[in-house]
Formats: sequence, structure tokens, C-alpha cells
Amino acid sequence: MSASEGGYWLDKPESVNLLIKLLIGACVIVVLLDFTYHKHAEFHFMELFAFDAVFGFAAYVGLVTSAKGLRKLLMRDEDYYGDVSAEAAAAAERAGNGSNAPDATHETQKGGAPHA
Amino acid sequence: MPESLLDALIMGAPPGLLLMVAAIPVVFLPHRLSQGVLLALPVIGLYQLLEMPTDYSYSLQVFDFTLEVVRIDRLARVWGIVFHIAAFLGVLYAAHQKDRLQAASSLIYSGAAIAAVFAGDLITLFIWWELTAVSSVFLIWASRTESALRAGQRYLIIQVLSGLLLLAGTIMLYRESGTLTFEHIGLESIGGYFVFIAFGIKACFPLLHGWMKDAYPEATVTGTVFLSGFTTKLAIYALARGYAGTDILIPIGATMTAFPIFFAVIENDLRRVLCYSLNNQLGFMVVGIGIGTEMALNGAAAHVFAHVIYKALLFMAMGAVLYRAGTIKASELGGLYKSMPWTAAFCIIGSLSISGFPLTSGFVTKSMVISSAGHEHLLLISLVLLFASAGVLDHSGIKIPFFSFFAHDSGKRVKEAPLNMRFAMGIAAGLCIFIGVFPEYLYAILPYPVEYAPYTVSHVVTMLQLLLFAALGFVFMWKMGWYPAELRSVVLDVDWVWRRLLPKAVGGVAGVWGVGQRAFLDTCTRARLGVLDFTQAHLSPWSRFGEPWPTGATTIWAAILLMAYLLLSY
Repeated sequence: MSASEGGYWLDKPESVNLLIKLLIGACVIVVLLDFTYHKHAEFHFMELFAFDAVFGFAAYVGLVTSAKGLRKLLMRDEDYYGDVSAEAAAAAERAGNGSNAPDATHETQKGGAPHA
Repeated sequence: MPESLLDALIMGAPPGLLLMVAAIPVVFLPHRLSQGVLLALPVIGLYQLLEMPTDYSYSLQVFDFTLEVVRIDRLARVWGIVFHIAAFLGVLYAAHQKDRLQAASSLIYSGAAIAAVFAGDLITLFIWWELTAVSSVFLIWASRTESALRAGQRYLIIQVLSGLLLLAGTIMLYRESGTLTFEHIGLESIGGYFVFIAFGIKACFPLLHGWMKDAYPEATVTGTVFLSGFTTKLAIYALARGYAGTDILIPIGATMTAFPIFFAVIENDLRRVLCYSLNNQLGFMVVGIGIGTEMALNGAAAHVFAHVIYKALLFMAMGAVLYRAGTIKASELGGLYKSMPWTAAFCIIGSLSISGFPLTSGFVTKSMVISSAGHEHLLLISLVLLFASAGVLDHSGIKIPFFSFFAHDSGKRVKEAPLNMRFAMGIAAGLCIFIGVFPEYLYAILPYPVEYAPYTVSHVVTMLQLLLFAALGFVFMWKMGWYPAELRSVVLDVDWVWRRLLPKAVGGVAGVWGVGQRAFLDTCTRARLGVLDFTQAHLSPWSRFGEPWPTGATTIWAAILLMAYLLLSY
């Protein structure tokens, strides 16, 4: 399908790499900006050089890693509670409004149909 | 006080009543006409509210009670205005829909929430409080699936329970103080605790939050947009009115900001991810109310205003994805920006806002709460809020748009969202940016004078550092393959207690009862059979006692029995 669409800019790996480079560039700039002004924070240690940068990165990685660990404890099969999600209703609503059902949704509608 | 009934009807009509009264007749008009009128209702309501004085009160005498059915002041007004905006956005978003049940119940629900905000006494509050519960459940049931039916029942039970606690607390407070006025309540009495828990259920306090993540994702595409706006924010208003400066709210709120985001990372249903994110945002407001300074309360109110709009925007975007692609599971989606570019763009604006990027609404409101925590030198709380701000970037800032519109191309090619949905999302996105760029308009309607400047170099740079490096953390984990894959699954939460544990426990008790009952019946049966065997063995015609006895033997037996009887009677 994507071949007939002629390819999107974001589909190219070099575009994604460019975006990542831009993000890294922005990160470098906001850290270097710390040299240019007098930082004012409510707590002294928060005025340390690049405090928020380090904190943001550490908090993010820490959060995602620990949440991943939480899966072992809390994750169950999709039909654990024995009922289906609201997707069947959305499918019905779409059908009821007479709009063309998209061709790519067959497999997912199967998953959402009230078969349980 | 006016004398005639007509005067009372005009002057005592709370904002929001128009929406409730008009809802049912209007939905029976032809579709296009009814949608037009429904759209006009919140606009008229908002106009009426803005025209009313900012300090207004109207009381009714009912038996021996004075009910302040309308009380307008600067605190309630903030909620009143944003609720009207939310109702308008919701109606516009749902304009393609021909379900009269949903159209009517969403308007009644919106109107009840608005009227509740302007309730000056606890009885009036209770009435509207319960009406929001009863009217909103139809938005869940309107999905018309088995699971929605059950989720709606659970939702209704918990919501009505909250109302009953409110009523019980109100009665206790009335017996203590002799007044029903809804002013500062505090935790000085038992009644105060009852009302506190009633508000806490609807405000999704930790461990009381299970109903929201259970029920909201079961509602219809359009229903969730309404649901996300009113119930929880009404509870935040009630807390701000009754419990401002109550210290316990600070740790409660901080827990709310941090606790749900772990679930948001691993949840697969993207509308459920938004529920966790909603819960996290409520935490910021609760912290602000707990701190209770003018700046903190301003921060909480401002955050409610911004939040209602960007949260509605995110639910609208995910609703549009569900509507078009037929699924909202992150594991099944990806690459939808190719076929839904407008929705993707609006969603990204909502994501930037909730994450608090400069020039968006989240930046100018959330920072007021975080700054007021700093002003009060609450070190731990400040760090938790900072952590939660980085966490918001993951679930709402990255996960929501990334897994639906980008990530791995799912191959789904769908139609763009209907025009009315795009308009609703566009207006909401515009408001997010407008508030972020011109915060003074929002600050002007806050309850207290604002002396807060969000756009200082220090603040902008530190916030950008936090957010950009958190985003870098995402890129790092994604590239390393460490980011948790989206899996078809459910994540257990406190609703497990009443969806699984309690039924199992009840089943267990019933099981033990059944075993006991069976054992008892078995014993009875065995005893009965034993008696039968005994009689058969000894009394049947072919047994020793059963065979015909000679008359002499019978006489002897009779004599022995008589003798025994005689002996015993002495």
C-alpha cells in the first residue's frame, strides 16, 4: 500500500535521524543557555548547572523502567475480565452513520466484536 | 426577595438550568435543527453567565431550610465559564451523531455540573451532584455493549455512593452547626470527613480512583469527551470551596500526580492512558487546593480551566481515531498521520499543552501550582511534582500521539475525522495556544489578583530542559529497544478489588456454604438411610422382630414393658 502512496518524508530513516539530531541540538542549546542568566529557583540545589536536564532524563528513564517492571505484577491477558472494550460500539456507531467503513479495520473489528 | 413565582423562576434559575430544561425537547427536532439549537445553548448560557454580576445570590425558602440555589462568585465563575466551553466543544464534536439519548444526556449532564458549581448550599449541591451521576451513566451505556453495561453499573453505584456520603455528611454538619451553607468545611468534624470522602471519590483520590479508568474508556466516542470535562472537575471545585488549605490534600494530590503515571506507561488502551493522565492532572489541582494560598488556589483554578480544554482535545483526538480506525489499542495502531493529518496535528497541540511546553496553556497554569509548592518550601512535594511533569511527557506527550499516529505503520488507511470533529478539535487547539500566548486573559478571571509572571528566562529554560531531556530519554530508550512494547493486555488496578476479588470472595463464601450444606445433607441422607436399613433389617416381615410372634411371647413383652413403665413412674 505504501508503495502506491509514493513514500512519506517521515518514512525515510534519514528523516527520523534528522529529527533526532534536531532534538539533541535543542537539548545542547537549552543546557548552554544556563550560562547566560542567573537562575532563580526555590531551592538552592535546583539552581545547579543543568539540574532540570539531568532530572528530566533520569526521571523519564526511571519511570519507564520501573513501570516496565510493574508489568510482571499487574499485566494480564486482554480477556482477563471476560468482556470486550468499547470498540464494538464505535464500529456500530460508524456503521449506523452510513460512512464508508475503512478497509483496513477488518482485523481489528474482529477483535472488538462482542464474541466473548 | 421577589414574591411572585415568575420572579423566582427568572432570578433563581441557576446557570446550566437552560441546558437541562431544553435538552429533551430539542433532541426531538429534526437532526440539523436540533444540532444547531444544541450548539446555541452553551453559547446562550455562557452569555447569560457573563452578563450576571460576579457577586450574586438567590435563596429559596423550603420548609424550614434556606436553600441558596444560585451563588455566583469569582471562584465558581471560573468553573462555570470553562464548563460552558466544554459543553460547546462536546456538542460540536458530537454533531454528526444521531443518537438522541446521548445528545440529551450529555446536555443534562453538562447543565447539572454547571448548576452544581453555583450551588450555595449543600442540599442544592447534593441534588445536582446526583444528577450528574445519573445523567452521565447513559453516555457509558450508550455504547450498547455488554462490557459498557456492566462498567456503567459499577460507575453508577460508586457515583451514587459518593452522593449518599455527601448527604450523610450534610445532615451531620447541619446537626452540628445548624446551617446548610456550602462554605469552608474542613476536617474538624465527622460530617466534614464524610463530605471529604464524597468529594474524594469523584476527585479520584488514590485508591478511590478505580471507577474512572474503569468506566470512561467504555463510554462512546463522544461520551468520553463530555465525561472527561465535568465530574472530576466539579469535585475539584467542591474541594476548593470546602477544603482549601487542608494540609492532608497536599500529600494526597502529590500521590495522585505520581501514582497513575506508572500505569499510564504500560496501559494499551489509549483512552485509558488518558484517564490515568487525567488523574495525574487532578493531582496538581489537589496539591494547589491543599496549599491553599491565594496563588495556589489561583493555580488550581487556572489549571482546571486549561486542563478541561486540552483534556477534551486529547479525548477528541483519540475518539476520532477510535471512530475511524475501529480500535484505540496502541498495539494495533500506528502511522495514522498519513490518513488523519488534521487529527494528528491537533493531538500534538494537546500533547504539548498537557506537557507544559512554553506558549501552550499547560505551561502558564501548572507552573503556578509548582511554584506555590516551592514558595511554601515543600521540598519533597516539589520534587514529586517535577517528576510527575516529566512523566506527563511520556504518557500524554509522547505515547498518545506517537503510538497512534507514528511508531510502526499499522497499514491502516482510514478517512480523516468528520468535519465537525475537526472543527471542535481545532477550536480546542486554538484555545490551548491562545491561553499559552496570552495568559493575562485567563489570569483576569481567576478568583484572586494574579502577580505571577510565567515567562521568565529562568522558568522557560528550566522547563525546556526538563521536557527536552525527558524526550531525549524516550529517544534513547526507543533506540536501545528498552521502551516497553505495546502489548494487547489489561493492567490490573484497584477496580480489580470489586471486579475480581470481591466476586471471588463472595463465590468463595458461597462455595464454603455449599460444601457445608452438602456435608450436612449428606449426613442427613446417610442417617436416613441408616434408619431405613435398621428398620429394614430388624422390623421387616422376614427379620427377627418382624416375624409373627407367638401370643405368649407378646404377653411377656407387654408385661415387661408395663413393669418398666411402673418402675419409671415411681
